[in-house]
Amino acid sequence: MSDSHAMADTNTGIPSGKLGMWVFLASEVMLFGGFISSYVILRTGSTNFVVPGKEMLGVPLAMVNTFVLITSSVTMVLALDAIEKGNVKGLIRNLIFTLILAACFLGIKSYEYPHKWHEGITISSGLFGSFYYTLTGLHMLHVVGGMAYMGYLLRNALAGRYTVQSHARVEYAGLYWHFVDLVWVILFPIFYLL
Amino acid sequence: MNAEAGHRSMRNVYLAVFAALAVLTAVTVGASYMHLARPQAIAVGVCIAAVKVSLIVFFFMHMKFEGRIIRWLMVAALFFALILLFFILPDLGWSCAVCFGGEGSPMIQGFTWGIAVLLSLPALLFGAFAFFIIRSIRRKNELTRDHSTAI
Repeated sequence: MSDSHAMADTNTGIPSGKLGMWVFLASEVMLFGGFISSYVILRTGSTNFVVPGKEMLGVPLAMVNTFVLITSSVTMVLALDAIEKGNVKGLIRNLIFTLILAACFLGIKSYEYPHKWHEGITISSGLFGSFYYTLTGLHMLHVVGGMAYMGYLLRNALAGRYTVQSHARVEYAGLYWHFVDLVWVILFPIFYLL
Repeated sequence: MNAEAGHRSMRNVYLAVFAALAVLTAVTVGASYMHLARPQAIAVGVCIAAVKVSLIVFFFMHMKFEGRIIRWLMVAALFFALILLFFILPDLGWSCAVCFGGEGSPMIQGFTWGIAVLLSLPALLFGAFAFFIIRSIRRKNELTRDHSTAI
């Protein structure tokens, strides 16, 4: 039984899937933590660190992207909320919204990348460019992975596999997706604003 | 019904958190155009990001309702990630950032300490695994003992 409400039949009292997802997210904290801290350290410490002007970075577009990702987080949590009430239609609708918003995020990013490239911010143009493309690229891969995860959920939801009693995977996918949103919430100010 | 009411209020909580996140995003962007002094700008940016991250973790990821294990798991991860940042950062303040040479330079010392502390992470992890395995074996033994005495 994969009921997320009942006390799980494990030593820890936490369903294995949920604990697994949190352990994975803890490792993700270290992955992004390593990259972000090296960025911060080099940016504050290196004399070779040239930060491009704000007008080159396209702050308004990045802000729109932040809104898009935050909204997708909300639709994801509303999808979970819907299936907790047994509303399969609501689950499907919100999953589709989330997928569309994730695609919007990727769309805006794929407009941003060549734009920056033409402005002279490339992956080899300096420390800023290297970090920018590495970190936002890594984050983008996570968005793509999240879309695959949600596509899988959507397929199962359309097949009617999720019910009030059994929808643990929707919750785990949500945890992952909110984490991806959270990483962007950190990347946005450190690359675009500060 | 009670559970129903609980769910409905959660939906409102999600929407409230969404509104807060949107407003905070606008505020942080607005603040970045105010030409604050560097330390103030960083303080504002970091504080707003921290609030947003907490909102996401506690409400969207339901950390608010999780038990000790998951909380400490994330505290441990965050602690070690922050070590990367704060054990090396102060040393950098006093040294030349790109001088990777010199024996005993602050940079080298910072990295050495960082490595030493990070090496304790696997030890901690294996220790935790061992702890849980031993505990589960003990529990199982206790259960079977209780069972046999009951019979």
